[in-house]
This record gives sequence, C-alpha cells and structure tokens, in this order.
Amino acid sequence: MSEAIKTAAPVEGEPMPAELKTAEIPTRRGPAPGDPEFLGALRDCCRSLLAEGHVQRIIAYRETPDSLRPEVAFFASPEETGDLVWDLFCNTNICKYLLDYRTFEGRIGVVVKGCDARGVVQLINDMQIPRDKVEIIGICCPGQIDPAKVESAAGEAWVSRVVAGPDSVEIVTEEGTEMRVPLESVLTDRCLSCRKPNPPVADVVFGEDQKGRISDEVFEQIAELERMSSAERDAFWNRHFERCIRCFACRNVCPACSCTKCVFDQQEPDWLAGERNQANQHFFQITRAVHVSGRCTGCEECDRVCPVGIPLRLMNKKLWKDVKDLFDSPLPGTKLGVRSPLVMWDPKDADSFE
Amino acid sequence: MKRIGVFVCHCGTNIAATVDVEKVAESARHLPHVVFATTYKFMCADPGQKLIADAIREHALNRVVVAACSPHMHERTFRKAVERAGVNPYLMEVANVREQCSWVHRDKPVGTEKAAALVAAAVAKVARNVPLESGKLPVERRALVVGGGIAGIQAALDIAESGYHVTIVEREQSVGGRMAQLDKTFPTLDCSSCILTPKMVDVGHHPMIEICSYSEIESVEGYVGNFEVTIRRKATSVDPDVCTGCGECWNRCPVKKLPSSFNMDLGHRPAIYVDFPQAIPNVPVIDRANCTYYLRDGKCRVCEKVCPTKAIDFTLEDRLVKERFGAIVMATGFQTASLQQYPEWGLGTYPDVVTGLHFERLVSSTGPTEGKIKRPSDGKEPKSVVFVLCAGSRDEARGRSYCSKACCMYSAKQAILLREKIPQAQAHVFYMDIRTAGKDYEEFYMRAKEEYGVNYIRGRVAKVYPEKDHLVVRGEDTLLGRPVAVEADMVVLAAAIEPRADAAALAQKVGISYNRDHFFSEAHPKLRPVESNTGGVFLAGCCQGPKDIPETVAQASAAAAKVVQMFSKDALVSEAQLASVNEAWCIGCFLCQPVCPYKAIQPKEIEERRGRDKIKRTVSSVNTGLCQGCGACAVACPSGAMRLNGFTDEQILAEVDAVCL
Ligand SMILES: Cc1cc2nc3c(=O)[nH]c(=O)nc-3n(C[C@H](O)[C@H](O)[C@H](O)COP(=O)(O)OP(=O)(O)OC[C@H]3O[C@@H](n4cnc5c(N)ncnc54)[C@H](O)[C@@H]3O)c2cc1C
Ligand code: SF4
Ligand code: SF4
Ligand code: SF4
Ligand code: SF4
Ligand code: SF4
Repeated sequence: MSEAIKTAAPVEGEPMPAELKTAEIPTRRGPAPGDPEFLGALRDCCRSLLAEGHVQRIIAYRETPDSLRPEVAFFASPEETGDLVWDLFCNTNICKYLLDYRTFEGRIGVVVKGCDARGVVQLINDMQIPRDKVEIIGICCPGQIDPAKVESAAGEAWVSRVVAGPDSVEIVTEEGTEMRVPLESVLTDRCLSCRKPNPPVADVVFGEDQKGRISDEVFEQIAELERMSSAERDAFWNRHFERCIRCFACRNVCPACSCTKCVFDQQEPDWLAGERNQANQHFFQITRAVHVSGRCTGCEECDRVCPVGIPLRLMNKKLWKDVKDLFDSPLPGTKLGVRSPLVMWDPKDADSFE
Repeated sequence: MKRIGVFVCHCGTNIAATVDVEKVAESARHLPHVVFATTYKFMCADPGQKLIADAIREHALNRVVVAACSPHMHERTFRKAVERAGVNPYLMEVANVREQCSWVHRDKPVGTEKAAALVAAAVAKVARNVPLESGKLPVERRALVVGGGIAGIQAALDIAESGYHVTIVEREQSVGGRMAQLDKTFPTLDCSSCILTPKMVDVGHHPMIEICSYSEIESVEGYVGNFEVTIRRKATSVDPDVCTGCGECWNRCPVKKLPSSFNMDLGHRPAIYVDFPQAIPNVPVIDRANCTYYLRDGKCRVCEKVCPTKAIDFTLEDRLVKERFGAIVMATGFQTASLQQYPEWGLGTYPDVVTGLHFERLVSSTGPTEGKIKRPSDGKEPKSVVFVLCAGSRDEARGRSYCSKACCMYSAKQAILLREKIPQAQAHVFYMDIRTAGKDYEEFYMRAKEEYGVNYIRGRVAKVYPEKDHLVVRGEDTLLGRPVAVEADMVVLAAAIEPRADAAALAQKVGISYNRDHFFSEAHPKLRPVESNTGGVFLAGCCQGPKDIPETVAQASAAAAKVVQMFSKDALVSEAQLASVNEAWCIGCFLCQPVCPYKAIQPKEIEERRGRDKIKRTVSSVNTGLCQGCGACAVACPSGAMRLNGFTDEQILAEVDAVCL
C-alpha cells in the first residue's frame, strides 16, 4: 500500500439488511486529483490490491491516443496498472461494467467518481452484486471536462492536450498555441449542477470532500415545464421524442437498468412495436423513465450518451423530485440497503389518493 | 383448435333492458374462434347452467365466455358449471355487461355496442387462457380468537363445541369485554352479567379452550390453514397454576386508589387486581407501573406475605409464545369516542357529563356506587338527566359519518333504568332520529316514551354549561322550531362506538384490511360479511362495525361456522391464479419482494448453463401457500419476469387490443 494513503473513519451509510451485510472496511484516504502524487498513489493502490489478491480485476481508465478521451479498461494483473489513468476526461460511468462480473469468481475493484459510486451502490441495493465483491476506489471529483466544449473553444485547431488547474484550463493545440479558459466554461453540463461529487460509500477515497456545484438550472427547467399547458408540454416532448433512434444507449449505460430481458427486447408480448410513430416513441420514453424512477441515481449518463441529445435528465429529475416529495427518501445510490421507495410499504406513506 | 362458446345473459331485464342481447350474441359469432353464441334469461339459474353444459358437449367447446353480472357475483358459479362439463374452470371468462354496462347506460344502442366490446375483450382473453390447477394446502385444526368479549366468547364456544381446539387471546386480565360492564340489556332488560357469566365460566372450563388473558398478538406469519402466531404473555407476577383466586392479596394491597378502567375510572382498584368479581380467569395480575414493589426496589411485598399458596412471583417476565393456528377470528370490539372534538359538551371538563358506558357502571349493582345512581361530582342523586344521542356519530364534518347503531336503544334502556331507580327523576333525550330496527325494539322505545314518560326532544345539543349546582343543556327543538334549555344534574353522552385505538396496527400485523374509520373490512358487505379479505381470518362483533349483542352473537356464531367448515375439510384448495416467475428473465433484484403484502416471495438458487459453464444464481420464487394472487409483484417487476397466472400481460393486452383496435 502506498505511503500516501492514510486510514480515515469509515464512510457513513445506513445499516444494511441482513442479505447485504458485509464486514465494515475502514476507508483510507489518498491524495486529491491535481496533487502531483495523485496518479502515482492511485496506480500504487490498484497495483497492490491486485498484487495482494484483494481483487482479481480492476475496472478503470486507460490512456488513448486522443488525450481528451481515455477509455475504460480492465486490469487483471499488477503489471498492467502502469497504463491506468484518471484525469478530468473520465466521463464514462463505468459502474455498469460490474454486471459483466455477476458470476465472476473473485472481487472487482472499480475506480469511481461520486456519480459512478452511486451507480455501484444502486447495483448493490438492487442486489445485482454483493457489497463484499466490490472494492470501491472512490475519487472526490472536482468536475469533468466535456471534450466537445474544449474542441469548440479551440475552434478549427486540433487539441493536443489540456492542463487543468483549479479554476481554469490551459488548452494546447497541435500547432503549439496555448489558450486559457475558465474551468466552468468547459465542464460537462451534469457537473455544473452536481451536488454530490463525493463517493457516498467507498473502501478507499482519493482527495478531500468536494463541495460540488449548486445550480438549480435543472429544477428551474422542470418548473418551467410544469407551468406549461399540457399541449405545450406535449409539443415540447414530442419535438425531442421523435428524434429518438432507439439505440437504447440510455438504457444500456443506466445503473438502474439491470434486466437481462428488458421489456423493450421482448417479443411476446411485443410491448414496443417497431414502427416509429408518436405512440411508440412516447411509450418507450415514458416506460424507461418510470422503470428507473425511485432508483435513478441522477448520474445523467443517459443524457450524456444520447446521440441525438434528448434531455433525459429532465424526465429523470422530475420523477425523482416527485418521489422525494412523496416519500422523503434519500437520493438512490447514496445509502446502502435502501430499496426503492416505490416498492416499499409504509403506513406513514403519503396517500395522495384520498 | 380453440372452440369458444359465448353465453349472453338477460338477467331478467337488468341487462336486456339496456343491451340488445341478441345483437351482442350475433356480433360474438363473428369473433375469432367463436363457434357458438346464444342468450338466456338467467344464466346463473339451473337451466342456464345446463344450457352451457349442453352446448359444451354439443359443440365441443373448450373455452367459454359468459356475458353477465360482475365476476364477483358468479364467476365461481360458472367456473363450477364448466368444470362439471369437463372444461378447466380457468378457461371460462366473465364479461361484466351488467355493473359495468347495462346499469350505467340508459341508451340501448350505446349499451349494446359497449357490451359487444366487453364480450370481444373476454373472447380475446379466453383464447389466450391456459388451464390452471389448484394445489392442496394442509390445515392446522386449531383456532385463534383475538379478543374475549361476547363475540370472542361465543365464537370460541361454538368452535370448541364442534371439537376443535381454541385459544383466546385477551388483552385485559379477564374475558368479558364491554358486555361485562353493562347493567341490564335491551330489549328484555335482563341482567347483562346473569347471561354473560355462565358463558364466561363455560369458556373458562372448556377442555378445548385455552384462555391467554393479559396477552397480546406480537406477530402473525403464515397463511390460511397455517398461521404462525407469536403471542406476548405479559408478566402477571402471579403463578396461575398455584393461585386459587382467594382474594387475600387484592383485599390487602395497600395501594388502593388506582382508577379502575373496568369502572370507567369512576371507582378504584388495588395494584394487584382482577377486573371484576366474576373475572375469568380468576387469577389477579400486578399492575407493575403502580405497584410499590416495582416502584421502590422491592419494598412492600404484602401480597406475597398474605398469599396462602405462595403464588406471587415478582420475577416473572413477559413470555413470547409461538403457536400454529389454521384460522383466526378477530373479535377486538370497540371503545367509545373520547369526544375531544366536541368541547361544547364538556366531557372531561364537567364531572357530571359522562358517557353511556359510565352510566352503565353507575347503574350496575357491581359498580362503584353499588347500583345507586349518584352523580360523580358530589354523589347526589340526580333529579334530571339529559341523554344526548349521536354524540360524535353521524357527523361527517368532525370525522365520523356512520351511525353507532346501539345508542338509540341503550339510551332508551338507560332512561328506563333511571326512571325505575329514581321514579321522581326526569329523563330527557336529545335525538336526531330514533332508529329501532330490530325485533321488539320499536315496542321497547314506545314503552320508554309512554310507560316511563321519557321526554324525547328532536334536535342537536349546542352547549352544556354549569349553573349553580347543576348543568344547563342548550339546544334546538327542531320540531317546535325554537331553542330549548334543559336543567340537568347529569348529562349522558351516547358517545360514538369506534374500533379500539390499536385496531389499524393490529390489522396490519394480521394482514387484513380496514376502512377509513378503522373497522375491519369484510370480504363482501352482503355475501361474505364475516370473512376478511385474507383467507382464514374471520370477523366477529364490533371490530367489524357497530352492533348490539344479538347481532354480535349471531356474527360470532357465523364466524365459528366458517372456521368449522374450514376445519372439516381434509385439505384446503389453494388459489390457482397465483404469481409465478419466469426464471430465465428474473435477475434477482427483488423489487417484487417488499411489495408483496403476504410475504410470499423468497429468493431461490438455480443452476444455469452459460456457454460451457454451469453457474448458480439467485432468482425470485413464489410460495403458493402464501400468495393470494393480488398481482402487486407483477407490477413491481421491471422486466416482466413475474407474472400473475390468469392475468398475464399477453392476456390483458389482448383484451385492450380487442376493445381499442
Ligand atoms: C353504553 C353501551 C350500552 C350498551 N347496551 C347494550 C344493550 O343493552 N344491549 C345490547 O344488545 N347491546 C348493548 N351495547 C352494545 C354491546 O356492548 C356490544 O354489542 C358488545 O359488547 C360487542 O361485543 P364485542 O365482543 O364485539 O366487543 P367487546 O365487548 O369490546 O370485546 C372485545 C374484547 O377484545 C379485547 N381486545 C381488544 N383489543 C384487543 C387486542 N388488541 N388484543 C387482545 N384483546 C383485545 C377487549 O379487551 C375486549 O375484552 C351497548 C353498548 C354501549 C357502548
Ligand atoms: S427499461 Fe425497464 S425493463 Fe428495460 S432494463 Fe430498464 S428497468 Fe429493465
Ligand atoms: S436514468 Fe440516467 S441519470 Fe438515472 S441512473 Fe440511469 S443513467 Fe443515470
Ligand atoms: S440514447 Fe437517446 S436516442 Fe438512444 S434510445 Fe435513448 S433516448 Fe433514444
Ligand atoms: S401476487 Fe405477488 S405480491 Fe400478490 S400475494 Fe402473490 S406473490 Fe405476493
Ligand atoms: S421477479 Fe422481477 S422483480 Fe422479482 S426478483 Fe425477478 S426480476 Fe426482480
């Protein structure tokens, strides 16, 4: 274990139901991203986890020729961890890859941001993977950069690398020109309104707790939608839904979508007919949003991956707002052992039907 | 080959008046797989059922649709009819063309069109039905009765007399309930104790009845025929096997002035006590919250010293006893409303404003005044008493819309008792309506008015307030249309009968439903009035709704008959329309588990082939003994792995398509 990692108090979480219970592993803390020691310490940590047999696989990121787009990688041996990276371009939520290890014999380490960690916790709470099978290597996330925003800031020029500082980033082009832009101008949309950048549950944490960014933009947009007449709202969503090409990327990346036989893939009954009419487009969108409601962790990965830019976050957040108002439950994925409020009975539940 | 027969019922004119049944049959003939369609005046009657059976044989039908009344009414009838003719009962569907069609439409063409659509939906569904088989469940032939009032006592005696073991769980020290608190009973004015005590003695001595008094239900698990109940036997501090009930202890206990809840706090009891002299079991309990021994670290011990049989044991602790029962009778009775929402009547403020139950204790010869009616404030004999009916009942605005049913009659009784005991006293009754439906009830009320000169004033009481040494009752005489003020030495409020404070919590423990007033709900208000919605749980007495003693006893005997009927079978037939899991699709997320109100869903490990490997994984499984086929799990399951047999997605969608496409 690296010297830089010191032991800290365990991360808080609800007591787990019996079937989820596992020995409490004390959380250790390592240096923050941005600290010159950070990457070395992270690699050391992953290396020793593999070397000492604590885990048999690590899911993390690896450099690619495109420095704005590291890729997800699976590390099976200590030697491979030299390639491992973590920078401000690790946008992909990797938690979903855990499902490929449902029947893997051995433990898996995952290197996760706050939003990814919620996905891991949600998979645990949805009983898709036992807590003790996962080593959660958490990073208190300073916010991720949207490569597209960097590229548009650079204009015509090719970007060769980006050096991130605490408040601004330096963009270096192929031609060697350097330009400095404020960090906020290139952060991803979801990070601009991220309130929970710290992993709620982890075995190792890198960095000190981040404050996150408190923007109400999403909820303001939702309020605006709520104020619309139903015809206006219908027109609003119709404009978006009709563009959906049903690639199912939104579902595939979603930590709340763990079904092996998703309703949209079923033939008998064929819930989602092939024809791209308004009814079917709406049916797909509404069904997906409702299926994940109460379990959607608000990671906004679906929104990020949608190739046609449908603002799925608005639907997800609206449903979350309603669930929270009705059942006063914690954001999914922030506490171990919490089941979706939509499948729990409690005599104290709001009864808005009376 | 699917061969569907459609049978459209006229239901006299109930359906035929607003639905052209012939047209409906004709349109059915053109539906896929339908090979026969006809109509008949009363399908449920014998000839109607025979018509179905004959058609099944003649046209080789293998599926049937009956277009008639709600399946709630006759689904079972028609299932049996087709089964007798050799068709699996679940290959029969009812199209509800009465409650959902003819009764709600006036226009015949519209009604006809809708009926045809409902039939088309049922035909589409039945074409996708598969035969279902019921399983068999063993029965534990022991009954649990919760509550030992007259309802619980009667039910227990009837079940025990049929030869089955019964356990009564009673919260108080003694069985008897409210009836033990009453003085005389309408309409015959026989003494309540005189008719109740022999029954109490019977349950006390019956070899097949065990009384767990001073006990409560901790938890209920299991299902019809196989409940597993944990009973909390509260620590009594007295060994029941040794105690002879001699009374030395309760006569000598130095703590004498504790309010006696049996006497509605009008009298006192010691810290070691029996509820009343005829208590069954006649074994006292120590009220630990008020006993000096427990309050002052082992001081006092008087009872222990005086007990000739050394029955006192201060070290006893609550015990949790787990027992198996096949059936449960709920008989937890009622309490009367606190009337906090009615400050204008002054209950709790003026000592001489009391409720009917207080008055019962004041006229009872076993009560705190030994049967002499004395007003609580100064013990004076009242010369004028005002009875207020509907106190808290029939008042939607302040929470209770229902009629408490017994008050008209018991207030007439109490007025008569007052006039008998104090002939010079005046009795006034403020009422909204007088309801005397019941054998000899109207006559009883007329006697109160005519023979006993009880003064009935129609109107609501607006205010009760003290003046000098008496109370004034102000109200409006709505027959004369003017305000009235009556001087009274005592005011007796016929406080609303409501379920026990813990009724809802108990219902949740037992897994039965209750209405908005927290009375336990019967499975059908007319046809299944003593069954709850949960198999094997039956209802008796005031916990199901306000009623008087004759009705309570009748319901208790009916509940007992249902229990005995269940116990007389070798095995129970389990429901066939239950949930089942498509294991290949199930991902073991168990979103289905917490929604199941009957705790029927458990994890199960299966082995599966993955390529060349064999893997183990956990999926959901349904306990067919526990599942009641409610379908909640099927809705919670995101991927559709959970299905409700008889109501699968394919079947429902086929119905929707038949109506909408
Ligand atoms: C003032 C008044 C006068 C009346 N006079 C007459 C009359 O003259 N004639 C007539 O026909 N009817 C009369 N009635 C109506 C009569 O009292 C009821 O019909 C009858 O008592 C109902 O019996 P029960 O067994 O349902 O309820 P209860 O008598 O209330 O018995 C319920 C029993 O269950 C027990 N219990 C409750 N909760 C629990 C629990 N959680 N666990 C275990 N045990 C529990 C209680 O301690 C009690 O022993 C009168 C009612 C009132 C209020
Ligand atoms: S959309 Fe629904 S059925 Fe499909 S994977 Fe997500 S939760 Fe499962
Ligand atoms: S629905 Fe979208 S935001 Fe919600 S958990 Fe799934 S991917 Fe994340
Ligand atoms: S990612 Fe976007 S385009 Fe693809 S299925 Fe989801 S909403 Fe449709
Ligand atoms: S249908 Fe499902 S939820 Fe309902 S009782 Fe059966 S298993 Fe439980
Ligand atoms: S039946 Fe459905 S809800 Fe239940 S565990 Fe399986 S997939 Fe989950």
